[in-house]
Amino acid sequence: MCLAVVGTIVAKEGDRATVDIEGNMVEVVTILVPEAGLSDHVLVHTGFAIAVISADDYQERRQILKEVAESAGKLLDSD
Amino acid sequence: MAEEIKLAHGGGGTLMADLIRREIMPALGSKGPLDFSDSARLDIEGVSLAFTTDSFVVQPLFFPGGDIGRLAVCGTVNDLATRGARPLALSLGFILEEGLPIETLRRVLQSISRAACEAGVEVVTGDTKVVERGSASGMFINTSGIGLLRRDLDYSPARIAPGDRLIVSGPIGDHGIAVVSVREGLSFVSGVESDVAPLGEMVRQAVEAVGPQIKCMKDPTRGGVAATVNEMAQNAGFVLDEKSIPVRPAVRGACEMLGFDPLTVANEGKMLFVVAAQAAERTLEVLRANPLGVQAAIIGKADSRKGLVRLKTSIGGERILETPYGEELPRIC
Amino acid sequence: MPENFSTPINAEDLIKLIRELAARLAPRRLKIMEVCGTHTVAAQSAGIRSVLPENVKLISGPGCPVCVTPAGYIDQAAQLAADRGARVVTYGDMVRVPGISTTLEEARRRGGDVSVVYSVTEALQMARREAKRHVVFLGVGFETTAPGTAFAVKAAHDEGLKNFKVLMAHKRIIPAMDALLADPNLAIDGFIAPGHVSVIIGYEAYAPIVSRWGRPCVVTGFTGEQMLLSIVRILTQLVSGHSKVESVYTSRVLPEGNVKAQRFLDEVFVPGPSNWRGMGNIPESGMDLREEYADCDAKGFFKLEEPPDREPPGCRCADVIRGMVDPPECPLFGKRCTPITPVGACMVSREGSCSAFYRFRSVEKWSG
Repeated sequence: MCLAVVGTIVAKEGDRATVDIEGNMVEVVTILVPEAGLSDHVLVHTGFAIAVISADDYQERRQILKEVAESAGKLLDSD
Repeated sequence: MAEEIKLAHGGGGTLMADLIRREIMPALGSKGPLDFSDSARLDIEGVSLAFTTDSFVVQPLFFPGGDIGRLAVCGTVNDLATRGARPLALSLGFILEEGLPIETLRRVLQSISRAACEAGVEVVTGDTKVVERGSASGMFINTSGIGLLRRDLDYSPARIAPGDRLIVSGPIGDHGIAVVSVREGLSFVSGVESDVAPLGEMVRQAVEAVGPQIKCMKDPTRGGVAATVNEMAQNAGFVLDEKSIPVRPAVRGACEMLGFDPLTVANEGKMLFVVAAQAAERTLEVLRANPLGVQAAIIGKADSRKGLVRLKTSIGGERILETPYGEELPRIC
Repeated sequence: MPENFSTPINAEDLIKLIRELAARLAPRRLKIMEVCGTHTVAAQSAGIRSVLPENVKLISGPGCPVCVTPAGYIDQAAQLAADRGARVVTYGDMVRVPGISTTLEEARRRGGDVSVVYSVTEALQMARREAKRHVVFLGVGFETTAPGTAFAVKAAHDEGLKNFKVLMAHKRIIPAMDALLADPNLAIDGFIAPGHVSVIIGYEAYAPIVSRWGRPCVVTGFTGEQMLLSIVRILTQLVSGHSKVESVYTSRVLPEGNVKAQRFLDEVFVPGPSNWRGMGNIPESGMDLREEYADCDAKGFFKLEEPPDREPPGCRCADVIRGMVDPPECPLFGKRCTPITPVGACMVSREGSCSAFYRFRSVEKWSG
């Protein structure tokens, strides 16, 4: 069961936070990501934030896409 | 076949269709195959009437964007609209639970009154029953509706031909998610409101604009777009394009969280139209000019693989779009 | 935060690369296995199999935690609800899963208290509200879900909440992957590793089995594009003759994972032997409660035995779970066994292979 979604912390108190998931407000336990703060993006699974998502996540994904494609392309060309 | 009724029998999916086919139709001596029309057509002495009935057991009674009363009016009015009928009158049957606060009944009645006004229809007859505490979750409502049909227009899945376009009048999944978000045990406050709305006027505008080029109309309630398109796939098959299907981000987010496919989530203010290819753009134009249809989109096409509904996925893959089993979200409408 | 987005390199490009890399490896026939229920569903939903070349097969492994749990566990849970007055609390899709002779749904019909929750914290709340009733939480799931249970057990212990119990069935995925790689009948060429389990355990966790068996292992996310990416990477590795562990799921997955979550797991649970449907007993593959938290153990409290398992006659769940056969190869699939009339857990659980294959059937398999 890996269902997890991305949201933004809009309120935080102790190890509880309110996370905005595309307009849905979810109460989440942040004890597994104590470093997460207001406005951070987090990955939420069954009511727990399990990872902080870097602000550059979007860029990272584009970069990985590019690198994977290039690496495969190079390999195919080198023959 | 199960020995007793399960919650899933009310889900609008295959289990319910099975129940109707095996138990209900034979007992009533219904002629001909089930054509899954939302309302029946009665031709009487030169007049064509559409006649429909619907019961409402939604839990909770009040949800973001609506309530059981609004649902009861719109649900029935929209069933009439799918046949292109002008709604003439509604009946209103209440089954109230002992202990229901009168204030709650008042709120629901006000909502019914407002919705009927919006839909341009009158409640002309009704009935009220009360049952013991614990028997009705607050209240159940049944509404039946009569509408006037144009004799020259008929909308049915049988008229669908390969090449016809499938149009949805707006983003899907709002109603189901809105209701589920206020159920107990789900600790989230949804950014989603039910889309419950009367569609008669929007449908009338589309009919006026393209008339007989509309082959079939259905509102994707229980079972969502998936169930409804499968109902229409009798004389033809369909291919839907995942990328074209409008879904609000909040609905998508909630569906991801809860593990639902938006295509199987109920709508109460959307209409699916199957129209001849050459009428598709005009239909879109007319729908988008109506406040209830601003995000109307072409989401698929009919083809000759009868009975088969497919989805072209966002990566260009293909898979079958099944009628859902029917249990995802009980007591949604 | 868009999960799906358009870039200069799109799905079509990835599919083209997959075909070209596969052609390089031909006539070799390749088997890539995913071991995450959410990947099973994502792959079927995106129609991944419909775009793969003929010599690349994607197989579904034991990724559904409900499916790999012995059927008798359900009967035990049902009994606790129906006969022993416990409030049984579980995640969504356990309710209709067939046990040996009953389901939780049936326990409910018999008057048992079975509740579905989104988070274990709700089960904790129930225990706090009603001190007189025992709340038994069904601890099913892999390493993504287990930290939540650990948190709840610790909280219950610290608060002295005597009525909160967990019926433990959490499992660890890597020992299972190791066992699968050891099976000569399976001949797996590469693994797609679970995205969110890896968020917790880190991708370096796979390094030992990768170096032991020499097969590529790529951690990926859940969009169709992410899964295509992982297949490109696995095939690239195979063509270049390498085998290592990688992640294409960005910095969501760190090499070391979520250390805080691992500490929670370590504090509350200890690895132990566990039975996996279709794979038998795998050492160190389960999670047991540590001694200090034993008072939260439902099994000990209610004096339950190790749950037995049983395959319904004709059911090939065990083989499906192991990746030996595809769901349609089970003689019951789509005939006696459907989501309406399920025979095995694989068809009922939302993450089960059979359910995913049935709900999102590929077009060629449609028999009309």
